Amino acid sequence: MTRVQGFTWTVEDTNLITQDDAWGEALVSLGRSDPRIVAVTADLGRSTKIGRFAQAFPERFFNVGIAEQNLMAVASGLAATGLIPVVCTYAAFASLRAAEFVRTDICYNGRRVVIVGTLAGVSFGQGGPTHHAVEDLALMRALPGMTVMAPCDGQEAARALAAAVALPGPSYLRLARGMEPPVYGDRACDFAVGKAIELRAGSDVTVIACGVTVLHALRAAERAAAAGASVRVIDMHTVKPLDEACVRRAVVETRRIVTVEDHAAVNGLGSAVADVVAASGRGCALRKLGHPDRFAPMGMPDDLLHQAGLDEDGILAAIAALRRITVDPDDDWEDDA
Amino acid sequence: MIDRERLRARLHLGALLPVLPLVAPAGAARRLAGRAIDIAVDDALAAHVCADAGALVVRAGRHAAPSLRLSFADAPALNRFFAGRALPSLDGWHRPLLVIEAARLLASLRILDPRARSRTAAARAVRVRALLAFAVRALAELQRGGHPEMRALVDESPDRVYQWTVDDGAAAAFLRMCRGRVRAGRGEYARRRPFVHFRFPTVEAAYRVLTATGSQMEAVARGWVRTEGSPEYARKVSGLLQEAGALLDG
Repeated sequence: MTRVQGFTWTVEDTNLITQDDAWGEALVSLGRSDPRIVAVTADLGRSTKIGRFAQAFPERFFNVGIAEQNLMAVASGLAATGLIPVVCTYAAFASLRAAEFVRTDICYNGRRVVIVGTLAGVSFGQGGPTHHAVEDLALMRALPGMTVMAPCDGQEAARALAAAVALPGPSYLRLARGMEPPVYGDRACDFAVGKAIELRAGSDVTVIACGVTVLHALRAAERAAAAGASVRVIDMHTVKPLDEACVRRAVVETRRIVTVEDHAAVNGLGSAVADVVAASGRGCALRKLGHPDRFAPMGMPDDLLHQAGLDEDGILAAIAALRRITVDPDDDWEDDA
Repeated sequence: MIDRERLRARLHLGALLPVLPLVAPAGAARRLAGRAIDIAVDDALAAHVCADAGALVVRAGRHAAPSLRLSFADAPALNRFFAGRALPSLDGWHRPLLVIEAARLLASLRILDPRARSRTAAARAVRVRALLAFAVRALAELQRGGHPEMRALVDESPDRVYQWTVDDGAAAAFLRMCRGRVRAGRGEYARRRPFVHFRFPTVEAAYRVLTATGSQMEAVARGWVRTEGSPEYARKVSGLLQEAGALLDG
């Protein structure tokens, strides 16, 4: 079997590129402490790492086959009996193919179901547009009662999963391919649903990122600092409910905001932030970085991110552009008496 | 080449004199009501003190109809006057009480003299407020007076705020700069987070640091001052502030 990445990829390769097992291990750990937790998948037990749970608790694992709508319906039914189902499939299928079932079976009934969508954004770039998921945040955050999280590395994914399982209602956990370098590393990730994490202090521009783009934002901030810019970096791991206070602070304190997400530029994190900025009634320059209004080609994830301006180069350019803008100027240059 | 004497005179008129409302003797505004004191070298290097709505104010430029005029032949003469080594040319001798009031007002500025000691807590609080107000104005005047380093800093700066705060709320001052423009202000600038924030936990700590009764190392080690934000720019601004102080001392 050929394992050269690119146009000759095989399904087997998807197993090879999902190397970060943090969330899979976390699920097993949670399963040990809470017997109500069950796992459900749509024939992706190996590549999504939910299969770890199957090995540990085979009697609490259900594979419904390649039938994502049924996956959500079964999960809703399991939740109705008092169990806590964690369902996992690719983000594109969890959000798009199964959308109506997520809305009606799970959200409308307020079911306590954790939906884990892997390979979100263009993290499975080689899969092409059919396997890209750049609309999932838009769809999931529109569903009433749904909590939407996009952790940036393995540690945060594990903490987000634990938090999601404890929520009373439905939640969506957006994961990438699992190969991303750690953001938190040895540092503890102080995760709380709806509470953003300031990874870097700054006063000129705030970059609000989620998922894989958090690391790019940090790298861009470091480079911008070398050019004299003071850039705040926010890990907005919860897209819904958004940490509005954090955004309002950025509006007042830096007055220039860049949002960045491996998602379409419309209706994702950037749009959620824009809502808060608009409601604040304060002048603030906002630049939303996301995928443009066209299907991305098939390609390597890093190349696709670069092409869309979502890597550190693109974020750095956005920071530089915002620094040139004067926003709602305070034109009082008279010294105080 | 920068004219250091004119820059020094600018600091006297634009940074030191505006501290008067904070340190003036009680009742000064009442005694000055309806009158104004001009202090000038020429039209570009002038300031006047007057009372406005019951408060003492210091404004740049000459007053249209001053009651008392202190004139100086040149910038060095004004600088010698503020150093206590020369007298001005006085126009207004026929108002002896106003002359005495002017002398009392200017004498109150001695609170900023590094050799002066403030013996009570209240006096130290006043001095800290005055020193912070002076500091931000001095930096602003350096820029306006063409000081090359300060001008380069301000010219190249995006909209940034340098804030000095005593955390117990006793005093605060800020310097805002953006591409060639600068503003010295009192209190906390509310419209953006400080780029550099010098924070003193108490008035006593601020007094020790601002009057340099302890070493810088001791100040940091003992927690008398904490700097948040860019250490490089904090150092740069602190250096410019020391330069302004040295310039004023002659």
